[in-house]
Amino acid sequence: MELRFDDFLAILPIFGKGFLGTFLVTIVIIGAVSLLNRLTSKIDN
Amino acid sequence: MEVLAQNLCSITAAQVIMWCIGGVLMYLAIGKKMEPALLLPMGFGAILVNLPNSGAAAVLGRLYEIGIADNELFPLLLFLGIGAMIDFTPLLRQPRLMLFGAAAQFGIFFTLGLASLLGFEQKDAASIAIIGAADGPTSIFVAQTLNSRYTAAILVAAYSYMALVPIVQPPIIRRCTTRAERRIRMQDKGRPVSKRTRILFPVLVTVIVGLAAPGAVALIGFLMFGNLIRECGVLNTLSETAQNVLANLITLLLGITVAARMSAEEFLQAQTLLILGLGLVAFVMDTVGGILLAKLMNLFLKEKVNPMIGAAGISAFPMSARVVHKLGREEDNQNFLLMSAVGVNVSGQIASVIAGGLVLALVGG
Repeated sequence: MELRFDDFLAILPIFGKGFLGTFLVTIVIIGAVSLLNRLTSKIDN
Repeated sequence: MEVLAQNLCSITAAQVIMWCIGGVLMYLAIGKKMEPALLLPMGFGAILVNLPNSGAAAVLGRLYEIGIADNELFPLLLFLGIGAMIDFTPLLRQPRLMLFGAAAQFGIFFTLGLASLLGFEQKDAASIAIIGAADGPTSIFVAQTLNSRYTAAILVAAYSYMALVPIVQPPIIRRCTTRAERRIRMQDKGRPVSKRTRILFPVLVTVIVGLAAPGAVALIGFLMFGNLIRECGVLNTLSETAQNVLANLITLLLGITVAARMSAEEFLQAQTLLILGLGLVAFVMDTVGGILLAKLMNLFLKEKVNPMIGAAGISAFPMSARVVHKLGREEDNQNFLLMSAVGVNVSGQIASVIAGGLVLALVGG
């Protein structure tokens, strides 16, 4: 089996963007859920 | 008699190997009770399509086109059922737990790099990497959208490792954590969650993920629609049907349909073994990613988190949460990690779809 370092290097930006992007979207959801929790608890109170 | 003799003579060694593989899958389903709704039809289907001159191959091929290839109908409907099964309350009580779900997608991206290094084309490498989503419908959806040649092998790997979570994860968790870390107790400090929040949550997540990763909006949309049916409180009968009848029926159809791609000539390749190996790497690195984030956070947090809950970030639900809870109890029988672990586990379900959507956008776009 031949190791393809060029392909590996080409995929690194996708690795970085994908993993970072997953965190970013997650952080947005965390923020939105926290906001939602606060708003709904105020309404419910 | 002539037909029987003719067919007996045309049996190939490769077909016999596929019968054995089908037999092993059926044994795992029946004997070991591993994902029986999926592995049983897959095992039986593997035998069915590998009979000489099998007339079933065409029928299953048609089912494959309708249910998977044309519009990913089966995985989407299955996600609707899964969404109806999931209670997101533990996550809504402690939203920060979602970070562990994101960290536990590390295996996807690590495997993407490794598969590329080993010579797989980018689209195949991405499809293989998604085994690390630990989520069958997402794996099928991505592999099919990227038109991977290895869909069947990817599916077998994804579902096998999901079923093997109780065997795969504990040794990795033990190696990555100290005994003192495994004994850390976590208090459930979350606030009560209102019905209004539980109803709005699926809509909110659909909109955010849809805007960030449009490629995954169908997946997250069906998952969240299923959850909305569960939480709205006015469709209880439909919710129960989606959780039980629909999910089981679609899983059954999905299993036997995937078998359409398990013909000997398509499945028995050196790459299949490699894909099974890469799938294992993806699961291992997912677990490591979740644990390492928890350890990193502990450097800054006053109130430490038990690093094991990071391992529950893979979306194999609820097996992963149970594994973490059990390991916690082994070290300290008064340590109840289940609620936190379930929160992380359901967040992994969402994070895996986000990761899948981003992979689609970055590789398929």
